[in-house]
Amino acid sequence: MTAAARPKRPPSPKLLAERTAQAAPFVQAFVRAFEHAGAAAAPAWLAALRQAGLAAFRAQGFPTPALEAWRFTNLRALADAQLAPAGDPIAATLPPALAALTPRATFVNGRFAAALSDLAGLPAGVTLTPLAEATARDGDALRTRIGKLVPAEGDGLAALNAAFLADGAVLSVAAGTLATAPLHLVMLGTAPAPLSFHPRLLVSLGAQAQATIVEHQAGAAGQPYLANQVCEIDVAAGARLAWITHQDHAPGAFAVARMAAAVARDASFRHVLLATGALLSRHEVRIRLDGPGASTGIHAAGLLRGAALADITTAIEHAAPHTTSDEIVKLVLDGRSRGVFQGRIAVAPGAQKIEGYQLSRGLLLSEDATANLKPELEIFADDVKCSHGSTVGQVDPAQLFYLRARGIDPTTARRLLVEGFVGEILEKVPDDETRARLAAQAAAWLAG
Amino acid sequence: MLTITGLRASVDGKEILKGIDLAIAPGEVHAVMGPNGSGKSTLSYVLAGRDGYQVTGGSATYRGKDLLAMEPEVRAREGVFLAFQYPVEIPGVSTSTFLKEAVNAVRRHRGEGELDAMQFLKLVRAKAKALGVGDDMLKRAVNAGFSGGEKKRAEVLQMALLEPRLAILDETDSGLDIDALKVVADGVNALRGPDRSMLVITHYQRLLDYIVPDRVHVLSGGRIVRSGGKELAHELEAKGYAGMGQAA
Repeated sequence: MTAAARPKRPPSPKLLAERTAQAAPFVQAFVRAFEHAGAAAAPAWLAALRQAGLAAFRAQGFPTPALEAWRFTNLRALADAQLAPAGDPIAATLPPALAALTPRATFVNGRFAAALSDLAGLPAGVTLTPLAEATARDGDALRTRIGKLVPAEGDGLAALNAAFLADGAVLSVAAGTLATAPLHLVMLGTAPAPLSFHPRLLVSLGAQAQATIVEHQAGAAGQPYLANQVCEIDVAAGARLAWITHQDHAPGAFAVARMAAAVARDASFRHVLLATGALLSRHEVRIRLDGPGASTGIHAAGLLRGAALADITTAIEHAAPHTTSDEIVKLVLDGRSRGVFQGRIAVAPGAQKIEGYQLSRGLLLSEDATANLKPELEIFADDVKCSHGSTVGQVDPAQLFYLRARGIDPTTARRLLVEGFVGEILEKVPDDETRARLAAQAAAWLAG
Repeated sequence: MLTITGLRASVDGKEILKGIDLAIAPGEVHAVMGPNGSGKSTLSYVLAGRDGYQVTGGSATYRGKDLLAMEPEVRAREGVFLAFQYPVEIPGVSTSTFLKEAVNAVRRHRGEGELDAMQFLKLVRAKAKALGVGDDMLKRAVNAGFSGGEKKRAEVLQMALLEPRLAILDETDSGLDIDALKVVADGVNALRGPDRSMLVITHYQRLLDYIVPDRVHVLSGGRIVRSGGKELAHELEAKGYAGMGQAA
């Protein structure tokens, strides 16, 4: 266990050499894949964007622990896995639990799957267009949005997403639209052979709009795959967006999701994450509170066992005065798993009267599990209320004894306590049905 | 019901109980009084089976069985109930979920069928009403954010639901104002009966005005230094613990 803040230092020559060595074969594979796919008819601006993405990836390679932002999460296994970008669409079936959810947009290996989607019930004012269709149609409108919040220069994975940008979604909620019933996004991975896919979601809420998005990241057991997703979100003045994600990728999968949101005056972006899947996952959320009255909440729970690693990295930027953020991240760690939380709160100069709250907790169910929790506060204003806390521990013996003293056996008592630990996150899900479904999925994980 | 003989116990290698002898017959209510540090809470935790309390000598026989050999949950199912001095807060676990697990664990042990959600709700509502415990409290997390009075009422509600044969009340009066104390005492008195014994542990005589004991024991320095009828509590109130000396 570490909950430390080591001073940042430049990577050593040894680490730099390792980084280059780690990137090289993988870069070559991707360059070959890129050249193979490169002839596809794409508008000139899109071809240029992909070229720039590839150049950025060649320059950076995969992030390594030499980078401060990746200190605890080593992608060597991913770099070694040689996961070429997915080619032609692969037929897939929806898990039955997801097939009943509507309205629903489904993406298989990053490509929109019309046959597995049901968008008939989309409320007026909400449009969802597959990105492949949108890029062919309104290039001018999109070229400035793609990469605005997640630039390819950010790191190798964002660059890789840009290099292989092919499909995803453009989701727009018109100003004043109240779409509070959930819209479901199913991001399905299926890998008959090892592969990678790189979907991009562009989301915008007009002024005073409201929407609830429930995202199901799932995958069929098979060969390893990399889901390398980027989501860029604009929340206009007074709008409210709730985004709930269940990361339930296949047990052998690598899952990287990067979500960046710009939240305007009086608008709100609330995000709940339940992560139960993947061998190695990184869920990175960057939120910028751009106008007074803007607020955000991040509530995340990661449940890990075996050799799994889940990395939840968040950055909240209070760029304007009178903005608020609250964040709770909980990691339940069994087996030899490792849970990582890096949470940065930055308060810009002049951003007075902001309120920030952050709590991260690791619950170790095994001696061999590890939690790395790293809160990071950077405050350049003097009239702010900012607090954070971070703890790692085992099941509380006093709580355990209390339950046993009421006749409850130790196994059930532990399960209740872990469910309770996670329950504080799930209770933040605004939609009753979704909350109940996630609670059932968390309970199933705990029983498994 | 309960026979304690020469019970000695240590915490972190330090001996706290130095030979306790106590016998409680069915239906009897015994009070154990004593100053801070006399070993009152240690006695209750040892009887309930908490980790970290080392029994170094003596015995405790409960209904003919070796109480000290049982796991804590088995003691509870066998009918031993400890009302905690400081009920533990468990954020995220709703009171009703917790109570249902506990009630059904005890029912299974007794060979009674488990209650389903509807049956349980009916039972808990009936018992809760008498104690002024509302539906909202049942929905909240176990003891989380409860006031002192709410916590103690919740303890008595648990006791009413689990129907123990031996109830140990550890400083149930601590932190209660007189109105809350009366509610809690009424709840406890409603549970008195010929088959149910109680061990009431308290620092103050005040509680014993409301839960009137059959016997009173004074615990001091890990030993029972005096025993008597309910009038002993009043004597203590007048003279203080210092007045009890070491006379055994």
